[in-house]
Amino acid sequence: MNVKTGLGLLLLAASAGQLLAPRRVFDDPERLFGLPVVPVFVLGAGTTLFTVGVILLGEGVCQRFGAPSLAGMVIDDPVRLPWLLLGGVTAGVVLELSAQWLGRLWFYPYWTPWFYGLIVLPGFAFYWLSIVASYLAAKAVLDAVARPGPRVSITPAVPLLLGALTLLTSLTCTILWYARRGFSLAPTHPVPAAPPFFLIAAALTGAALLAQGLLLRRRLCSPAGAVRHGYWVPGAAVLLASVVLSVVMEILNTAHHHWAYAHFPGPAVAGVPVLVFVAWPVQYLIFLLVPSLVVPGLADLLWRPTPGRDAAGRPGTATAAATAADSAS
Amino acid sequence: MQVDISEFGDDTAKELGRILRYWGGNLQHITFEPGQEQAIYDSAYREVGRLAVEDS
Repeated sequence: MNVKTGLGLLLLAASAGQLLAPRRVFDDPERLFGLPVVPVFVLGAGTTLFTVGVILLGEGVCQRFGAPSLAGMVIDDPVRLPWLLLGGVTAGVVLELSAQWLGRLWFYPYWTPWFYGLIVLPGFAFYWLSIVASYLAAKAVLDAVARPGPRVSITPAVPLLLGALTLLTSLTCTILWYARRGFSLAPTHPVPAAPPFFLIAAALTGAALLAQGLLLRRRLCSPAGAVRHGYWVPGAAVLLASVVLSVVMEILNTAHHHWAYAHFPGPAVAGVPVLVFVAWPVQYLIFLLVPSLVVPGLADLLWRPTPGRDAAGRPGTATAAATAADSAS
Repeated sequence: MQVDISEFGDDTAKELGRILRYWGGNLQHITFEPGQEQAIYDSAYREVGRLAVEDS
C-alpha cells in the first residue's frame, strides 16, 4: 500500500467521525445569519475529509496500477488545474440546474440561501474531483484485469440526435409544467410539488447522450468510441465507481442528512430511495462526459486505455514496470 | 516513439499532440530499461505506433 492510499483510507475513516456527533447538536442549533453553524461545520468537515480521502485513495490506486491520474495531469501542466475546476463547475451546474432547480430531487436542510450561493460552485468543483478520482481508480483496476469485449457498431449521429431530442423535449415539458404552476428556487427546503421524475431523468440522460455525441463528432475519445472497438472498461468503471461510492456516501448521509432527497418515486432502502442508487451512474456520466468537452486533454485521461494496455484492455509490457515503479516509491 | 501519422489527415497536429501528452504524461510509470515497450493508440482506438526503450 502506498502513502496516498493509506492516507486516503485514514481520511475516509476520519470522515465517519460525523456519525459520533450527538443528535442534539442538530436538533436546535444556534444560528448565525440564519445558518446553523455547528451542524454545518460538523457535516462540512466530514464531507471535506471524505472528499479528500476519495481523491487520495483514487490517486494511490492509479499510482499502484501505473495509470494516469488527475494529479499527474496537473503536475505535468499546472495551467490545467483551473481548467479542471471549470470542468467540475460546468458539470455541477448541469446537474444542479436539472435535478435540483428544476427537478427538486434534493435539498440541503442545514443551509441558508446565501450559504448555498457561496458554496454551490466551489463545492461542486471539489466534489467533482473526487468523482473523477474514483472513476480513474476503478478504470485503473479494471484495465489491469479486463479482457476485450464485443465490438458494437454506433453511428456518431445517433447519440447526438437522440440526446438533443430527449433533452429538448424533456426540458420543454418541464418548463411547461412550471409555466402552469409557477417557479421558485428551493435549494434549502422541501417543496410539495415537482415535475414528474421521468422528465428530469430524461433530461439528464439526454444531456449525457448529447455530450457523448459531441465527443464522437469532435473525434475525441469517449465511452461509445471505446465500445466500438471492444474496449468496455470505461462503462464498467463508471458502474463500479458509482456503486461503491454511492453505497458509502448514502449510508454516511443517512445519519444527519447533509442533503435530503425528495420526489423520487418507488421504494427506499435504509431511508434512501432505490432510484437514487440507480441514478448514480447517470451522475457519473454527466460529470465525466460534459467536462470532457470543456477541459483540454480530459477526454484522453478519462477514456483512453492505460498506457501499456491495448485498445481492448489486454496487458502490454508496461505492467511489470508500473509495479516496479510503485514498489520503489 | 514511432507513430504512423498517415491516417490522421487534417487532424495530424491535434492527434499527435494528444498522443504525446497522454503517453508522455505517464512516463513516470516506466522503468527505462531496454525491452520496455507500449503500443500507441489514436483517439479512434486504432494502434498507430510503439513507445519503446532501446539500446542506442
